[in-house]
Amino acid sequence: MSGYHLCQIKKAKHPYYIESISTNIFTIEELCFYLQQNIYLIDETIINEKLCDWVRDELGLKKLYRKLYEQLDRQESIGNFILPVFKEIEYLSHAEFRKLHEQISNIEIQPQDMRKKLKADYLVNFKMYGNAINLYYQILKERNPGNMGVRFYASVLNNMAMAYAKLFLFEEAADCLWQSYGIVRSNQTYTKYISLLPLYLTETEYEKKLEQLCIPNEQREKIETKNSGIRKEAPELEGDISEWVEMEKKKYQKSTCM
Amino acid sequence: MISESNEIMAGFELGSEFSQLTYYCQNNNEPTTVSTVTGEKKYQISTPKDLFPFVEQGAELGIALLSNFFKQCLEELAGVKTMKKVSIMVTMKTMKSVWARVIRLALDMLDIPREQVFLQDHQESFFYYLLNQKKEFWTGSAALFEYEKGEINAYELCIDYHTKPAFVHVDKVSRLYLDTKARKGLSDDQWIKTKDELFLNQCKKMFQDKNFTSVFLVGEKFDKIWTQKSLNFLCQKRHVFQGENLFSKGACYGAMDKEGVAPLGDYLFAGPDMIEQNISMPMIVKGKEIQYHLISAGVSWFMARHECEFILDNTEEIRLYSKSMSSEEMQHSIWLTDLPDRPNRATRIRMEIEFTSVNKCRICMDDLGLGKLYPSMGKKWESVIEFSERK
Repeated sequence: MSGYHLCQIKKAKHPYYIESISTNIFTIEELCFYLQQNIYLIDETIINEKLCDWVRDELGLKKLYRKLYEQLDRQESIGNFILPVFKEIEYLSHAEFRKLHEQISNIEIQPQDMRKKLKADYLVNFKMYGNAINLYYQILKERNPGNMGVRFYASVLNNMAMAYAKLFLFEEAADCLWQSYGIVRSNQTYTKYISLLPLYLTETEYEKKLEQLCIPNEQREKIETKNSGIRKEAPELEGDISEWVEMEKKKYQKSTCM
Repeated sequence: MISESNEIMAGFELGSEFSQLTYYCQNNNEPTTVSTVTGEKKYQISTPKDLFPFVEQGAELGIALLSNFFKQCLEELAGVKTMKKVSIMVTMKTMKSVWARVIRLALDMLDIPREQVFLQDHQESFFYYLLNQKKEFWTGSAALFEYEKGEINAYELCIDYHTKPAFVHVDKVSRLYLDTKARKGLSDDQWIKTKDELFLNQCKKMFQDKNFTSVFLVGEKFDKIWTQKSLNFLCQKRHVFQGENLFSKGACYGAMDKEGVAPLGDYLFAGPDMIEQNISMPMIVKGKEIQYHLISAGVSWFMARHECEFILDNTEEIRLYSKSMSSEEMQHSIWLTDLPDRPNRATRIRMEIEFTSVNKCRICMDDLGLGKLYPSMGKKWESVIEFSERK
């Protein structure tokens, strides 16, 4: 339904802190949006007594509080817990409601490793790299290729590499990519690995590594041309650089939260 | 309907030299005007000297000054601090846009919610005062004479029962100058007689063809010394009242009406400031689309305002609909240009709609983002709708 949804429920004076993404929310609309968009992130960090109390004390929704508390007591599924939240302000249309229900049901039958990976991927979207790496690590630690197949773990390593790279931990990122390449010989992964090397190796070390890997000159040139093209396309910073650095530092600190 | 305990309704007459405060709470049978001397009828409270110049010259200090003045006056009401709810109607001779803004901001500073703040001019206060008196006083027309700053302004209140609700008009009928220029150097004795004659003529002219059931004389300078003939004339088959607190009492009745404590019912004050437009917008409320009323016709423009917040769903256009009292309908579109790029339903908008004159409506919108999930970029939009002049 397009149009305007009237906000009638009061804003919280004290926010609810969503641990997994280190973010405060102040309204029921924010809660609904978060739940709808991030169903893989719904876990005990959001489904808990604190949320029930917040709904009662800060949003003034006593009926919803009682419903949520009952669901908690009965240890109901994620779906049964969150649906009354949407219902409270009729946030979802019938079609959206049905779709979400299906999505939740699908999640509930997915293997645990897959759920964990999707959750970690969502965390990467929220720039919560520390938490994401932690989850990827858990998956890899308890890996059982019989269940998920080797490709799955290669993709976990790939995504983990991206999370490390976002934290400027290029050596760890390269290590993940190398492991991934060891499982599935993907050209794309190999190229990414080579591209990462100059970001943490000295020039001599880099040359030595390329020699070890026996990279043909032609392939090397191709990769380096591509990377210099990417660097050229990067937008130039406008305004005060120190302000930007401070902002990035804050983001970095938040993204390393566990 | 009886007021809940811990509720107080105040009428505040704000004047450039003097102000007055009348209040009503459950303990009072009727509105009571605050006296500066206990046991006496000294209603005039001195208005801070700098207040009017500051406000009218746009100095922000005026807001704090007014807020402090309101605070001091309201503290005169015993137990006001323990009151859970304070509603206030502020009345002024004319309610200018600058004053409407400053009064609201000054009362914001006292934490009085905007929905408990009401404004009206003296004519509307007269309407509220009179219609809260015995019906026999307003079966016919009523006259109000206001003596202030060397002139007497005469107003007529009449009720048009052809419509429902009945429209009540207060029209200015005449103005009589009694200043030094009009005195033309007459001695005191001569001037007393002349003044009486001049006022008598003003009254006769006003009453010649109409049935007036009541007359109200407002202003300190009305006294029996110079109004002998005119008072004799006025008192013929008419109820005549003289008082100092008519406007603040009228304001208090106004607040009581707005709060549902003393509703006037089927009478609507149709002053020159009354707007004739109903404004609404389609809004999804609990999953159902309805026409959501933003502004209702029949109120003075300075009371025509509304605030709300909503989430945008697949749209960057705000559609408003207006319908006048004569059923003219119009659609108005406001485009939220350069709306920050966010997922659907990740933009919350705060809308403030208010009339800035009888036919001009301003709409201000703020981008609130979606809390910390999608922080606001501070974008604002403003639009003005101008309606045609009243026919």
